[in-house]
Amino acid sequence: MEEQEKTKVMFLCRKAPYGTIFEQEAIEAMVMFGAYEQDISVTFMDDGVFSLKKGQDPSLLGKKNFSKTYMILKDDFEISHLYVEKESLEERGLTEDDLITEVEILDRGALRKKMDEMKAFIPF
Amino acid sequence: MKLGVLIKDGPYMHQAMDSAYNFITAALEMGQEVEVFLYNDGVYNTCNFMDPPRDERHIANLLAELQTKGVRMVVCVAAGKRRGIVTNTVCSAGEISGLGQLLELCITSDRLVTF
Amino acid sequence: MLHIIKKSPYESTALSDFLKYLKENDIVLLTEDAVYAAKKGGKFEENIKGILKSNAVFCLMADTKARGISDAEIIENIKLIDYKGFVDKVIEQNPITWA
Repeated sequence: MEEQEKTKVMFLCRKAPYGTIFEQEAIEAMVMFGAYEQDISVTFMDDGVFSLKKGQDPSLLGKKNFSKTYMILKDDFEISHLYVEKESLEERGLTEDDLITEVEILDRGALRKKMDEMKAFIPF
Repeated sequence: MKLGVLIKDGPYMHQAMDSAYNFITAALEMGQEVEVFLYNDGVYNTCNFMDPPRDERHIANLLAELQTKGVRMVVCVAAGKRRGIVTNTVCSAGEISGLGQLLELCITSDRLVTF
Repeated sequence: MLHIIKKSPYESTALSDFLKYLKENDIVLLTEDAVYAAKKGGKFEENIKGILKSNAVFCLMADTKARGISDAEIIENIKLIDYKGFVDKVIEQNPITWA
């Protein structure tokens, strides 16, 4: 018998952290989704790429530093892919070296192909 | 078809819940099945203590109406707890449950649309 | 893919953000404050006409009506739909909401 096909879901992270709660509650959802053995991707584009910037310290805001969670999303929470849109990084003066964890950097064309495979999108 | 509806904005401040209500009502009239998940500020739509002026739409009552038409409305427990939407404060239409229900909705619905 | 836009193009980058992912056969739906993008004579008229060359653009009638945008003021070839039309579009193609 063939294994039951996994549902492909993609988080679209398009908002910068701290200014709103979107990033934090997106992470909470990613962590939960990972536990259900489906095929979960997370894509950072537009201002969402700022969530991955190294060196964040929100202690003076009285908030927790959630960016550390990205480093363990794949290993500890079984998220299948972390994608970052190349053009969004470049527009914001960021390179791969600025990012807190290893990600797959894709241009829009390649990313769109991944998006076409998805059953559902959770936009933040 | 089963349509999943994800609502991420709160009531009155944003149009999201109103748009979603109209969308869901149309979908039900067309014979589609609908299930709702409320996340982020969307959980506030289920506040049992909202009391708008009488001549204004009452959003929690609109949810109750959808519930009587067979729409399940799941309120995220974590987002709700953070905002004070808990067993004592949630309206009768809201069913408090975990984020796993949102993934379950991705799996069981034919489409997921976000408001 | 069905691209759903909710925010006014004068306020949000959603209209340009989704464009980067627009492919042939995709559908665009303007709702809520995004319907201001459908009004003739605005700054975004050329952008919308550009999209219309390759893709179908729909606009939610309840939202244009609420905002006093008459049918005559809407850029040609944009199709007005009601909420049932919205449901049809969601059934037709997988939706992404760009806000």
